[in-house]
Amino acid sequence: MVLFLTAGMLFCIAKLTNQTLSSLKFLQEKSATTESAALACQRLATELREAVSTPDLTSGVAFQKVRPDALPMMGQTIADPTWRLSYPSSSLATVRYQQSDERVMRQINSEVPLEVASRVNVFSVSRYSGGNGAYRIALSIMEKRRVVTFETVVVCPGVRL
Amino acid sequence: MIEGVVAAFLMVFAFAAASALFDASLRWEAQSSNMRRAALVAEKAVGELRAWSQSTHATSAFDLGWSSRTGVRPPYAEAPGFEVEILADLPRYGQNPTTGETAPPDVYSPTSHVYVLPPAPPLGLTDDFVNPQKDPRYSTFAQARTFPKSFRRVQVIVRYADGTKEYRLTTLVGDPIAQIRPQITFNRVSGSASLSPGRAADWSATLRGSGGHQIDDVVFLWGVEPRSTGAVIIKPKDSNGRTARVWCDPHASPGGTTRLAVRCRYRGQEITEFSDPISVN
Repeated sequence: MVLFLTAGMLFCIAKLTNQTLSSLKFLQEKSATTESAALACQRLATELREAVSTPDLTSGVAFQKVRPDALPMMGQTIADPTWRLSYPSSSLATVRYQQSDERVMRQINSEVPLEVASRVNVFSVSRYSGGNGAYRIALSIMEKRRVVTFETVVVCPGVRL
Repeated sequence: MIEGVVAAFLMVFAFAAASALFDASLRWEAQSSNMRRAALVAEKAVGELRAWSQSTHATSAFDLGWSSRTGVRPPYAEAPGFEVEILADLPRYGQNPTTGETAPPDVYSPTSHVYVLPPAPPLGLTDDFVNPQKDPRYSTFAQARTFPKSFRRVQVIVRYADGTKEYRLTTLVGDPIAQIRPQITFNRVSGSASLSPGRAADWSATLRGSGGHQIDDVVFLWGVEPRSTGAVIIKPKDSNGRTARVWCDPHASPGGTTRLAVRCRYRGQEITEFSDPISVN
């Protein structure tokens, strides 16, 4: 009798533990996906702020920024209002974010693209009508039955349209 | 039989503990997710505000229009339940424990957090005229300059979970840089157009953008360019050099003309302008 009760209880606990672990796994994956999408949105926003050329929005977004290892340009006369021409082309890097299947990839020049977000439903960068040199970034991801959208607006001081 | 009851009791206890932990983990996960979303909502609000400022203040004074952008705003469509409130003011400071001074709300250059009050105001036509652009306590440091119309401390407060939680993002928004080279204009604030011994005149300099709007808080350095024997003394009246006082040099020969020269640095480029000739009697 005791053995029977114990077996039944163990069965129930095992089933409960299994379901709990499944839920936790789902929550962990959901959290990781949501976090990566939010971070991708923030990462693109902060990097787009560094743009020194008008972003190309034909496929995702591509823009030029000053390489972190470029020599500082302090003390030089800035003739070009976009700042871009103040730097030699060797000091600039082209950054591209684009959607590939359900992933958003980031690529520097022609190097190997790296994944910054997965399970992406829609990724778009468009001009923001409320400001000069401002862009709207939208990134939607699929959770089991719903679409979660992250959206932000970024102003690029080095870009004038 | 007793062992069975004890075992069942232990099992129920373990189950209750596991349930409580699971519930706590769900709540923490939800809180973490909400906080992350609140951060994104706040950054979006700041981005929209910067975009508005870039667009609006490119052709108007920076301190205009803020009241229309502050206050409580409706939630974004993609983040229902996240209410946004925007505040914009000048940064405030606590009392400096060393000097006992409390800086008025403003942004200071070269630094806001070790701001010291400037010395006594200019004394007039005397040799002990205090130059407000130079701090007499430090021979190598210029006096702190103020930027009351070029910055706003923006706070975005995002309230969620029925207003029980809030996320606060604080940042500085600055006057957008003019893309076309601005021009300096002179204006005689007080005093006569020609100078004579014992009579001073106050002049102001203003930097104006291509649309004619005033670019505030630029730091001007003043000088004179004598056209003949007209020697005058010129001293700035405030740490930004917005206005300057001009009077005859009592040791110079009377007569002649001179021009005031003022220069400023804007967007890394130096801009210099001369006034019309001033008669010195």
